[in-house]
Amino acid sequence: MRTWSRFLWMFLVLALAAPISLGEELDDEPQPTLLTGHETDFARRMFKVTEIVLDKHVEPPTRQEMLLCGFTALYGGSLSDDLRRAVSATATEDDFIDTLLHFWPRRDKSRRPGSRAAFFYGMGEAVILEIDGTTTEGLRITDVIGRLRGAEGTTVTLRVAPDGNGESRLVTLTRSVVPRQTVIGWRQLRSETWDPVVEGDIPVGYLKISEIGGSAVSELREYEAELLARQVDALILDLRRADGRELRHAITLADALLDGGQAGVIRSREGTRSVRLDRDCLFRDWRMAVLVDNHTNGYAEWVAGLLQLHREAIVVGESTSGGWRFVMTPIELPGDWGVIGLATAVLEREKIPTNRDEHPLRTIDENPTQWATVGFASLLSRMTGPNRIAPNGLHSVTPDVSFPSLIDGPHDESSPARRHSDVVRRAVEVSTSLKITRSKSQIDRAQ
Amino acid sequence: MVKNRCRYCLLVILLATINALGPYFVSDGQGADLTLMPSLRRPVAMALLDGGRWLFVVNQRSGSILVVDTAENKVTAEHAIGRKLSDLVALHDGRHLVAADTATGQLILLRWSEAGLAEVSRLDVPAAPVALALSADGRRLAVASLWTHRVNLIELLAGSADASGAEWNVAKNVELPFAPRKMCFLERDTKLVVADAFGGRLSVVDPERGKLLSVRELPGHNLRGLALSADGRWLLIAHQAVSPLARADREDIHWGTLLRNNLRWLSPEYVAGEHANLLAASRLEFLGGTGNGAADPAAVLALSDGRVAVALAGVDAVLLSRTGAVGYQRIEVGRRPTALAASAGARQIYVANTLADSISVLDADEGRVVTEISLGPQADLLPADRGELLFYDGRLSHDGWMSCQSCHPDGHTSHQLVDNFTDGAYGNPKRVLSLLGSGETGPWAWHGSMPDLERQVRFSITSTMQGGEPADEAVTDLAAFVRSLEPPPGTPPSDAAAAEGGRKLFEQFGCQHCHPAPRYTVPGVFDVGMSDESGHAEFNPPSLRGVAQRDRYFHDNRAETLADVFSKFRHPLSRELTRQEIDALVSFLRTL
Repeated sequence: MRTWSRFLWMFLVLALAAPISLGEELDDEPQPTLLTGHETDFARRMFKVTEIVLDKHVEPPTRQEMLLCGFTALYGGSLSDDLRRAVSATATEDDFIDTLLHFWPRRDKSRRPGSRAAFFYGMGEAVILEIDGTTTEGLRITDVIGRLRGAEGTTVTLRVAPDGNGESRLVTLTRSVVPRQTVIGWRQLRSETWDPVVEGDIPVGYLKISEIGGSAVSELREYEAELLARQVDALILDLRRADGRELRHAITLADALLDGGQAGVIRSREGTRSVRLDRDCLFRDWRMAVLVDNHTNGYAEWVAGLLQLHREAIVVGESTSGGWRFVMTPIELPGDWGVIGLATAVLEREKIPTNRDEHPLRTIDENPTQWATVGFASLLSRMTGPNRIAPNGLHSVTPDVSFPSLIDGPHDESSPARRHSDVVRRAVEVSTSLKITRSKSQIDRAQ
Repeated sequence: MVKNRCRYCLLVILLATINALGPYFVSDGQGADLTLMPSLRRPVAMALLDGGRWLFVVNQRSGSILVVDTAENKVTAEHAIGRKLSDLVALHDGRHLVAADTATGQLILLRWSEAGLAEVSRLDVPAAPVALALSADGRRLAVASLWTHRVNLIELLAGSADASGAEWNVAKNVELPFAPRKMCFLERDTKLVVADAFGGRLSVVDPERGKLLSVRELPGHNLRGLALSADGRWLLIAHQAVSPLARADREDIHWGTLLRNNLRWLSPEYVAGEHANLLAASRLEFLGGTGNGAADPAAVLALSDGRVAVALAGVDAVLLSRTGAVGYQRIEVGRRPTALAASAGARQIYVANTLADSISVLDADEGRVVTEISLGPQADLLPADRGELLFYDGRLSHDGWMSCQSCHPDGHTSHQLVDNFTDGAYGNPKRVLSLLGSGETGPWAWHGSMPDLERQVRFSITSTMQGGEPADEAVTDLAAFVRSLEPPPGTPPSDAAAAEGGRKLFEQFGCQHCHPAPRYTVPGVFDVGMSDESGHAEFNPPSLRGVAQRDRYFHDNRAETLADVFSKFRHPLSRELTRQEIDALVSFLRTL
């Protein structure tokens, strides 16, 4: 838990320090620096940031820990005893600022490379020199984005250097809505159009969610209508390498895929809040297999676990990492300092049963013959019992049917495409073999 | 000027006298051209007789019935029969019609003949009858009474009422835990499904015994369309659903995450089963889509050829399913289509455009409007009338996903939680407040953050609905409409002594400090010991007028009943009340 906080903190401190320290050669031993107005501002800003972290972070480190993380990130762990003592003795705002200014690496603005926004131009990468006549020199990325954005139909003129150097040219772009698919089907028919059906004796729907964003549910609805029209009632939901940045999108997706119930709790410093889902769901009563791998990250992992736990979906693939559980919230910094993402809450899926089986279903797929002979009722009973929690932690998902991912490795002799096809085929086998004969009591359960 | 004023007064007196004399024919225009007087008629229901030759249209605002000759597509007669008509059914004998009048609390039996339409008799029913449903065998008529939360079942012996009205009796009276509206008979007329007029509850009644069998909740609200599919395999419900997990921001509205417009296909078998899972073997269709919302599905029509039509009242369109194909065809019609009727053979569909005072006639095969029948010239619109047009207009919202009506059905509340930005933050979904009677109970919003109604209206359009900036006149008109909405009625006490005891307790406990008569609220905010997810603890006390017409209480619906307000949450008392005290308080509150 703490490790994660620290890890995150190193990124945060580095990110904040980056505009000043980029490109510098750091000394092994920290050297005192000159107290310029610019540096004092920087130190006060850092103090303010630590205050915000202390106020908002779900598991806040101490202010000393934050300082230490920052210095460790900068010096690679070779911190002097003086520095360590100074950090430990930091108690007040003045202490903090003194320590920071005293031990922070020397900055030489003349050695800081100018940063420019990148621009993907043709097949190469260009650099944006100006936006509507305003130089991008020194602009933050958020400012650049703000200048590029605008009402649909309006134009923006950029001066770009195609290769980052050399001769520049002007490019005028008309702003428009850029459609971005976050759910794709099995076979691409043409641009932005996919066939979502894996043909076979029993046609099976295949939908891959690449990113759990705001449009994912809307896209799934459209695919559901198409699949229904094609008489499909089994689905492979591919969450391999899926990710999601915003909790609300993940909750919306879980809400769309699950028939009510409690999807977990969000624990923050203000308290614990249950996530209750409504009873409507897409693909109601369909057979479902969910593909995961160890790159199924963040909220996608959470959704996969919920589908396994509450929807009787068969999870196929590799165990997920289980490494992510924080709810990141954008927090505005004072003044024009921008926004930082802070872990303001922890998302918890379920409570861990005390007597769980450490390897609930993993053995089933070790021998294909054994898998073939396992009765589905038996499988379901094991899956719906108390042993459904993954063995490697609360947040990871252990597949019901273990199958190597398409990630290349030393043992991987087949092409990624081939392996992709293999794992989907396996999922098809699983999903078409499912015969969820719900008992009368299940159907007739009182609401 | 004086002369004109005198003429105007004489006209008013004349009209008032005619109205006082009871039902009258404005004109019986069968076979002759009819001149219709300027009026705001507001058609809300239709019925066909003589194999579709004659279409009868009831008007809510004018209280009249119009007779339309479908061969000529023109109005031939207008009959002023009531004050505020709400529904109309044609009996199976092909000669009689029954209209409901919410203002008088009456059903009106009418007979159609070559001589025209004539009133046969009237029947008093519990207040505010808003919808009628006729059983498949034509022998039983169900009447939903909105504010009294009742369904009356009327036996129609021999399939019709006779000229004397002697066989025109209320046989059963069923009390419901919600305000009912739409109904549909199922299972060979052995079950009656009754839908919530505002929220998402669905009950099943045994019409023979007059017994309430079940009350279950659908994930949704505004259950406005209810019909059995042609093959009887599906119960179709057109409704809306709002997610408390979503935000009223651009993204969640754009992708249809906050508010959905749905056509739900339920299995009658599971609907009829008292303890069955209502959603078992069901389907849910999403009407509209990104960039093209389908605000306020208001009626559903199951055509005899298996196709389905849905009226989208908020975006002035009808969706018509395609024969042998997926999806719907969207057909533009008049303003606020709320009722549908089909000719025999489903060749033509009639659409009542409530706020256009017109009927659109659709060719069901070609999927186009054949003609639009004017129901007469409209009178000049007052600010509240113009506000009414806007209130039901989904185009005020981003991409037409919702109108004011979507969360405030007929000005009341959907009883749902919505996470809008009224409190300055997301993550605190709050119960939709009723607008009925709210025009004079500022400040507005749960935390009293809106000091005037106009500001609230503007905020709702631009923030909650993510619409464009409205013109000042539009805001003024909408506010005028909201101010015209009267509070819902209380319930007469079954035990007057208990209600009186409750009133004394109300005063004894000091409830009137925050809820003083006559409005039962005060300006200002108070900390009553409960807070939202963001820690906001001060709330403007909601008015208690019509409190019995709400379903769940407090800002987050935490109390399921009025009794829970006192027993579970001890609001705002420090001591535990006895059961008798709670019953008395509830009895009193229900009268407000």
